Amino acid sequence: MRKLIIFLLINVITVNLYSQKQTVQIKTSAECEGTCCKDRIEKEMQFTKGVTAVNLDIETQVLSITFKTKKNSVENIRTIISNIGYDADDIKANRKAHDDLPSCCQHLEFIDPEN
Amino acid sequence: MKRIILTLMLLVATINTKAQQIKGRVVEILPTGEESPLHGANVVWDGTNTGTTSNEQGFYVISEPESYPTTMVVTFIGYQSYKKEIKEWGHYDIVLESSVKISQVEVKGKVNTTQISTLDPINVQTISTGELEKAACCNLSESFSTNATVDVVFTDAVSGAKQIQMLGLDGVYTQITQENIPLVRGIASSYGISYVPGTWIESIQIIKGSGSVVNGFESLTGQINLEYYKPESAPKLFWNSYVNQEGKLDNNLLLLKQNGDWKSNLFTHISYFDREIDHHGGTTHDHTIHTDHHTGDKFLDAPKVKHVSILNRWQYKGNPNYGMQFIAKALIEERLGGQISEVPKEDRYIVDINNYLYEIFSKFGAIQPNTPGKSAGLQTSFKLHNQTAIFGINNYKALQESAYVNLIRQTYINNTNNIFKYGFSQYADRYTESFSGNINTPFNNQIRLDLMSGLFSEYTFKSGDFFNITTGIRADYYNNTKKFNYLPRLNMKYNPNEKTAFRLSAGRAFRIANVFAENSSFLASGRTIDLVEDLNPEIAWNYGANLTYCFYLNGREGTINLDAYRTDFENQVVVDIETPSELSFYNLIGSSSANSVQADIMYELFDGFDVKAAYKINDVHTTYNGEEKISPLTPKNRALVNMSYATNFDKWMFDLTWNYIGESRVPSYKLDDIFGDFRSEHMSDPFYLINAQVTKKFKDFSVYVGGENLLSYTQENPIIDAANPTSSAFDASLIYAPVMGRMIYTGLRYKIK
Repeated sequence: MRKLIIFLLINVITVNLYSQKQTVQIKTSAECEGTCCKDRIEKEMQFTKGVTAVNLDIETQVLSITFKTKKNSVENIRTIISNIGYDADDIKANRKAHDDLPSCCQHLEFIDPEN
Repeated sequence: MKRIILTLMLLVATINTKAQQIKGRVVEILPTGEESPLHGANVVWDGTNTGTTSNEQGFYVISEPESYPTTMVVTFIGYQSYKKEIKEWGHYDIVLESSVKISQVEVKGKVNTTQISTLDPINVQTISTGELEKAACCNLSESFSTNATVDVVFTDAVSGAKQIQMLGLDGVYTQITQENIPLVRGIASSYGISYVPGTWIESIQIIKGSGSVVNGFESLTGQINLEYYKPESAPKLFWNSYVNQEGKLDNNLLLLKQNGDWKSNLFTHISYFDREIDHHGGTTHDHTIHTDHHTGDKFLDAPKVKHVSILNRWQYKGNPNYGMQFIAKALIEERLGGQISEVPKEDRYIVDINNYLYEIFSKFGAIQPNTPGKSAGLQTSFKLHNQTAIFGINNYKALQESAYVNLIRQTYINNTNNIFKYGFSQYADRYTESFSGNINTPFNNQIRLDLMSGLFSEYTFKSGDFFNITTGIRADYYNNTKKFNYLPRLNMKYNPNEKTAFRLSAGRAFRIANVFAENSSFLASGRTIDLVEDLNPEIAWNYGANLTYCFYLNGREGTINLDAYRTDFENQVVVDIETPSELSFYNLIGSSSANSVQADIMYELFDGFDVKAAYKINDVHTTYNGEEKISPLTPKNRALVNMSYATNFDKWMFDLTWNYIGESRVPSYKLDDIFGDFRSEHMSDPFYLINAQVTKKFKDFSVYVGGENLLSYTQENPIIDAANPTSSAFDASLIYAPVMGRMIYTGLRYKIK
């Protein structure tokens, strides 16, 4: 029993040692009415591997995200955002994914004002 | 009253076009230098009643002030209030500073799932969706299982009906409304709260004590208002499916549709249970080994239920100066209980309850352009309810046709620190009832028409944010007594400081009893019904005091809440089960009162771990035929502890609720017909109930597994003389503990936003 506890403790410690976290800020194109964009990106990020904290600032469209470096990378996170349908820093939004978004979540510039 | 303001504010907020709004964000600066949004901060124009609260991201939208320059006041519990002079239309971000300076410790602005406000003049508790999802199954009656204010009690051992109690008194004394329109009234009293599927509800407000006169005359102990999902907040699609170990199935589907200026919700609910369960209730004594065997009592532990209900809402959003909505509801329910099919059909005791309920209600609201403080609202509701209830030889049939109109005008004098509301309401209820069975005076298609015409007015005075007083009076003319009932109400609130609120309330209320529908659980007995005199309306005064205090400990916010309420009846329709084998209804002679004292504490122990504890003492006395006694089957002491833990992003949620239910008085009863043995009056055993639930959230759906009554505590022999349902000793209504044992369930929620 005691050995088991020690073993588990060591495990926890080593896991913690190796699970280095990184916080980055990513400029996105998530500019839309209400909280639609924010909800969508945050939800997707919450269920992305390694992510421990996430917040999208609606005013600046900057996503602050904390993740475990062992489990994910900035590049990969940018790609995921692009695949949701938004620009992420220098990676452009996946146009098809963007057009599939509900109209309230689409980037304002992309929407034809006649519609 | 606050409710109406809120409704009107919502109307105002949603009706106003963008050009007339001022927007911004309320944040605090964390020690790390980051901005963190504050959810629920109050933003108001100084000296007016125009205000709003910030949303989860800290954003607020407030209608433009009547004139510039004006002062914007931003308040949030635990933060220093903030004032800013606004000279022109624009975008204003506000940074609040914590009023509690704890060096280097982050003060969390966490939103609890149950909130008690220190700003509201009325003692109101709000239960949000998060709290409702802690108890998965199935309808409104379960929604209170993690709440200490409202108690849910089983009423008999055969119909599966549950009723609520508040301040120690039956649910009939609490006004239950849906979006402020009467919901559970008349013959719906016994089963009404199980008619509302839990997944339709967005939030519930519980008002203790006498509320506003605007909402009607019936709130003797308080008001419970439920808000369904609104088209603007409902998910596009929400599907909930539930199944329990005994095979009860529940399905809910919520859909949202937008069509031009009209938005529409469609809610459906199906509940199905078609198995015979008889695990509990019987005991046989084995004399050879001197032990008791627990067996079934040949009565179903829970009735078979088929239930379908549907709700459709249409909301118009096309014009900034007025709004309207229509809701249509329909419900069909069949409950089949009583003895199991093993008993030969000709001898079988059958419980067969059928309900058909159709309802249409509408709301219109208009604001005076450019003066958002002045508005008018009209609420109407039409209802048709058909009930047949068979309990053995007792056969009750009722039809209720109801119409309701409420017209409210709101205005202010000089400024919005002096708000006036007045209006007119009309209730019309026609009951057609028949009863045969164990009764001294059976009746057939007896018609009663209740017309209540009321006028009301209410005045609210506000002095800054710290003092608030609402006085109101209504006069309702009741056709059957040919008398006006005058109902004065008073609510006041004082904040000695930002963290403390002290409230006082007093008021008078009345209601008209429907004794057969309200006490149908007692029909599940061999009692002979004695109803000789005409029953008068029930009238009571309610007085209450409340103290709410927010505190900070280790940088986390907690709330302490203390309540003391007293309900004093001028007249009550006494339900007397004190004499064995008899059930009498008569007007109160003597005194009847209920005192209720409750203490609550809520605190987040560590990240994600919330604890809520409450203790309540109910002291309820009524005079039964000249003798004052404690109300039967009402526990004097209750305690509740709820613990919940959620991991990051709520991916896993754990919930545990522990309930203590103290002893209640059980009146004396006959043990059997043949020997005429009695069990004398006694106190029931206290017991504990534990419920738990685990929820795992995935991206689009969540799965939950839970258990009710995990200790499997059940009332021993809940049915007296169960072997002889035709005897006068037979009684399935002396219930103080659960009839069903441990119940494990699982389910799935699927949401598309």
